[in-house]
Amino acid sequence: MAANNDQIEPKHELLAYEDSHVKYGPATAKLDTERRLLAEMRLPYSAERLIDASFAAESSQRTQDDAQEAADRLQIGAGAFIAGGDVLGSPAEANEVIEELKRSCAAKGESKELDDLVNLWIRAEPWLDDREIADLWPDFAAKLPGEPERINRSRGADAQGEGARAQGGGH
Amino acid sequence: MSVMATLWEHRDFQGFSKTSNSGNFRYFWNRWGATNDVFSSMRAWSLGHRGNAYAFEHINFDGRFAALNVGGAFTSSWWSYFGDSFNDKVSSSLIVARESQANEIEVPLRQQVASRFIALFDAQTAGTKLSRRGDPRVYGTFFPGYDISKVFATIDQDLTVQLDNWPDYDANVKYDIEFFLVNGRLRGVCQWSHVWVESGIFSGTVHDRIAPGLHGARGQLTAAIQAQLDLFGSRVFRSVYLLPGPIPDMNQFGFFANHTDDVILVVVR
Repeated sequence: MAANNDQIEPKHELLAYEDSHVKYGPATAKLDTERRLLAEMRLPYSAERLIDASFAAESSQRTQDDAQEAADRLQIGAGAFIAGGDVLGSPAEANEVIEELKRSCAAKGESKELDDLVNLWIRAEPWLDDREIADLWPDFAAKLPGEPERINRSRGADAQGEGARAQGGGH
Repeated sequence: MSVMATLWEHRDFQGFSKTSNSGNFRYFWNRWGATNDVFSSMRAWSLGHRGNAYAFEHINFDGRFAALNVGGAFTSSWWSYFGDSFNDKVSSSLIVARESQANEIEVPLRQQVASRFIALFDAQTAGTKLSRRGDPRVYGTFFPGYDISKVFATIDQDLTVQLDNWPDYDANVKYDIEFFLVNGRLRGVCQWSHVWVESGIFSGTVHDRIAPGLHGARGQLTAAIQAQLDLFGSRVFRSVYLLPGPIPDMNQFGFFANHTDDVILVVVR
């Protein structure tokens, strides 16, 4: 094994890439070590090999589903990637939903099924400004299970491991 | 009959808010793209179901999380402030609508799965240049990009690969296990395997040497999982699902944990 880089001939293929490796991306500490070892061993390597060496090697494989078992599996989830607030089609539709929400929140008693009211809130909420939310929320929350007068207060229970200032509670 | 949760921009339920409802689903998830790292308080309601609401540090339902429990001792629970160390950290959230306590069996998977995996792995790799680096992590993987409709229990093992007269290579293998019912009977299948080898001159070569065996082990893992699930015998269940982290104490309003702490298998009678 060669003692160090200084003993390598200047025309060695390795040195042709010694000053240009930056254009292939920053070398990792491991790659630096390996390049040094290759130099010590006077082993040349190609630019293609150097580029390949800058990337981790990865692969994934999936088990083939049994057709009958796949058909029997239950649908268990739904969800959304929330990239913005536009869950409604148009401002006109938004106004309609907001007005319906206002009427439902203002109605005495349980004029609407709870799930329908919740879904109405979810549809309208992205279109409401802070003041509208502040105005509507107490009436909406009053229709939810629990004690509405306590919504804006905390029991001040200590958090578990998140610092003394975390506060939470329940009823 | 559902579970609802709201996240607010500021502490004490102030500022803009985002509300989600599980509807008729077991899970309802949100990845907070444009509104990540802004939430400071959270509240959850039971609308007829027991359930848990989770707010995670990272976008893939991972990292640290704040959880709320409803439908047990509390109809509604809240974090009026997440605390300084978790304020403005939430990037994804998950609502899980659950069944009555009498109908559910909760099984923490980490300890059992990890010990069984270690025994299997070490037996397979004894005398080779592939070895475990530390113990496996066992956690829930919810709706991953490569299989968006699925929920898995993941075994995540760091590895070391020795080379002759050359520095060792770091590697990693992950196995995703899916639990489901067939005619009411509980099944577990190792659905995905993922192999990673750190970058380096021999990265591809090392990968090509170790990947076939690691991927091929899915069959053995499935057999081992199924043997464990035989403990449930011929019992028939209505549903099966996973919870992230440790078992929620439904007599407490909520808790903080990390997604790698555990994953809970819940079977519903």
